[in-house]
Amino acid sequence: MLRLLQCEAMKLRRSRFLLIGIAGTLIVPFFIIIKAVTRYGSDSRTVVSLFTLYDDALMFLMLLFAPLVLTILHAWIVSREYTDGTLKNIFVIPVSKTAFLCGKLLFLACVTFAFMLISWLEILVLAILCSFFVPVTDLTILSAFFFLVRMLSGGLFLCATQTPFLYLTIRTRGFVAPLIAAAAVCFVNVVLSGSPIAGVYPWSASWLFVCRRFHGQSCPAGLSAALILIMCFWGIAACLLRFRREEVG
Amino acid sequence: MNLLCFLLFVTALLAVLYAVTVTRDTKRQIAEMLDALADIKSGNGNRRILAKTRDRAAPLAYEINEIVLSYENRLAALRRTEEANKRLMTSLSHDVRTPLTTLIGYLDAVEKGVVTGTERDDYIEIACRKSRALKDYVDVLFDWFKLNSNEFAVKMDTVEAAELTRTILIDWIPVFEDRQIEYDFSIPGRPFAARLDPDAYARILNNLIQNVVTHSRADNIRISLRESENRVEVRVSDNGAGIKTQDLKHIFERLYKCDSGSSEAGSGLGLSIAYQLTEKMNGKITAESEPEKGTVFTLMFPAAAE
Amino acid sequence: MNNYVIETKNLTKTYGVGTSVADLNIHIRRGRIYGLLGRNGAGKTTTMKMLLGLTRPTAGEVFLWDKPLRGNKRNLLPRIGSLIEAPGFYPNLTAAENLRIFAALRGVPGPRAIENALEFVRLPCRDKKLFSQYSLGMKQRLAIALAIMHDPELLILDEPMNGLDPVGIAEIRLFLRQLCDGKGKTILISSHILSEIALLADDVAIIDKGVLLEEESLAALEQRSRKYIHFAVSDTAQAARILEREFGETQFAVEDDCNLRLYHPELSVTKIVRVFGENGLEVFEAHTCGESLEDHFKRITGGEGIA
Repeated sequence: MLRLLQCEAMKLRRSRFLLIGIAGTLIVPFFIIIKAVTRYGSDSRTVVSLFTLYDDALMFLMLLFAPLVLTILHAWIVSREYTDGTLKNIFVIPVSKTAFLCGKLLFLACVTFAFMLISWLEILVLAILCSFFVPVTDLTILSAFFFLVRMLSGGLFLCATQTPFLYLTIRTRGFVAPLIAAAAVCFVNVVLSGSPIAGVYPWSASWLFVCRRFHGQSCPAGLSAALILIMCFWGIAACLLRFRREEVG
Repeated sequence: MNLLCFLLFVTALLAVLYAVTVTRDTKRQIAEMLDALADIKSGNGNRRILAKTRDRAAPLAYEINEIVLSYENRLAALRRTEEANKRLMTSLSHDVRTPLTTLIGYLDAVEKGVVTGTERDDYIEIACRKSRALKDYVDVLFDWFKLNSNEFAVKMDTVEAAELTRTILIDWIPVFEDRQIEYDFSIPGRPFAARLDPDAYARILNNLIQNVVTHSRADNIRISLRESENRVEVRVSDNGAGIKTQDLKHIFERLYKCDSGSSEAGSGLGLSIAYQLTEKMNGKITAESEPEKGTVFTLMFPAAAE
Repeated sequence: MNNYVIETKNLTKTYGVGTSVADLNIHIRRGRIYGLLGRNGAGKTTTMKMLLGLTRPTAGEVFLWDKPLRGNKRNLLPRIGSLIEAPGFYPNLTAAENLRIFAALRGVPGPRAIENALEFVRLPCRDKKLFSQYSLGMKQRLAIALAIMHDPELLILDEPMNGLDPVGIAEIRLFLRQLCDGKGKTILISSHILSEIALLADDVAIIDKGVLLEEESLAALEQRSRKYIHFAVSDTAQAARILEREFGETQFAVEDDCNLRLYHPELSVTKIVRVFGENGLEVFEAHTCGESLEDHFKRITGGEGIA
């Protein structure tokens, strides 16, 4: 399994999509800092707080950006094996289809966590830089660590909620369909973000979990968790079942 | 405290998991190696043991592969000779049977009195020629077997190539005259020193000329000797039937005959022998041909250092 | 142990209503080059995919080294090198990096396997050129390098000459021949070009519309396809003498005391029979045999030819 992960990492060398992914990752924290600083500039009564920075970042990431950027990355990592025609070379090695897909899934999880980790680090670094020019409150190791845990838990939820897109990628052998689906999901996320039924929608529910915003929700947290879990298992099972039946050509 | 316990637990779990994986992998690898070795033992020299470069067992696997490969190469050489001998044996039966049966046909006709007078003499002459050709064939065969069992040792010597060539060619003049083949030898008067085995050289040249005489249907043969770039170059050219392009690259192979099935004794070995002998003497032999225009064989040997 | 490296039993593959391969029984002997000849879409690639376990047969079974492929993939597939359809590699990596990935997954027989394989197909090993910048011929070469990297016993090559220039084709042909004759490897090769197979293979299978039409050694095919007149006479010695004296003919072979083949079909059979009769020979049989390879293929594939 370790070897499969190593190989996955080797395959990313010099790839353009990796650059797109990293650029996508860097955008959100950057804009959030800009927004906070400009607000402070126009109204000096507001403060730039690490707390709000991370809270905003989590909202943008979980509801809008992460599903999109991660779907691009995930779908590309999986669909390239179809478009480059490399599956036939891998299956005859032989690497079992289950092992191969599990390796892919693990690697995608790694990508997701790396995505969250980079975002977390970027906000922290930008906040420290900002603190030289404007006052930044809550800038302590403890709060940074607190949000590291939240960001990583956000990564965990993202791993769970990305599986349906993965299934779509395997099903269609391309990354257009999952990308359209991800865009649609994000749109619904935005619509639902303030409403009391956001908890029944797994994607916005995971944001509720990460940021502990279940008060005022009409749907109990248990139901949301169950929904997310069911979707995750269904996604992985569907991927596995579909991929095991995969025939080259 | 809780966190610490949890971390310890996770570490221990990971360690156990790792140990189990390593043991399982090693077990599987050993099983695979044993499987491959059993296969090799049963005679499959092409089986390889595959190992990832960073595996602990990789050097072992690579070493085994190398040993198997070196044995396999030696076996392959043996198998090739064996295969060639087998093929020779099969074609031998045919190559001898057809000319021999034809020969018997002539002798039968003479014995039963089917032919008389000059035709009878004619038949006897043909029978004579055919039996001599058969004898030549058997001689060639003998050479070939000796060459292939590596009993044919060449003794390299510094010899005077021009004189040697002249001596060989003199014996052919009556044959050419008998068959009405015009000949043209251009061998310079000055001596050429070359590193050769004179015996083997004579065989090569004889085989090439024999080939022209029996197969090319040429009425002109040119043989020239010259020196170029520290090499002695001998050319045997004729204006006969030539060799088809698809046949040309195979003519030096063992047992290749452009047309199988012929009542004339012809072994397809002469050129192969010429080729092998030339190689043994560090020389080169090439053939160029144009169908219906003729063929040129070129021999090249290193000249002796002055 | 029999000598079949590959044996299929009633191998069948149907896609929806169409049948791609039907009841295919092929037998590939150890140390031979086996040519699978058929037009595009005849089922060659599907057959090869089933042999490699890339596609599941609808019915029938594949045996490799006398073991069923199903359930033994782990042990059997690493002994095979394959090239199926277009070369598939990661475009953002160099040739060596691509091979390194597959080497890391399968393992190699020696420490310099990647370098050797690349050297072998004449691709530079330290090249910085990416796979996406390769020409079609270079891509094909890399695919061949991948197929031979682990020094497999069996090569399954689907149209390996595609995209190569004539010099490259000659090189690969020579190499395959050498692998088979020199090292005793078994090679299964597919092609839609008759001459390609005729130049390379020892055994030939012709498939058309998924059906195996013929499986035969090339030598036997050529023997059969060589035009000759077969005579059965009372005395071959006299027949041989008459052919030489009366017809000036030397292109014949005596098979035994009463059978003789004349490789000169243009001669009139009736005339020869008459002259034989005049000389007191009894002629039991005389007929023309054989047809050219092309004609043969045309006939058995139903008239349209192969290439």
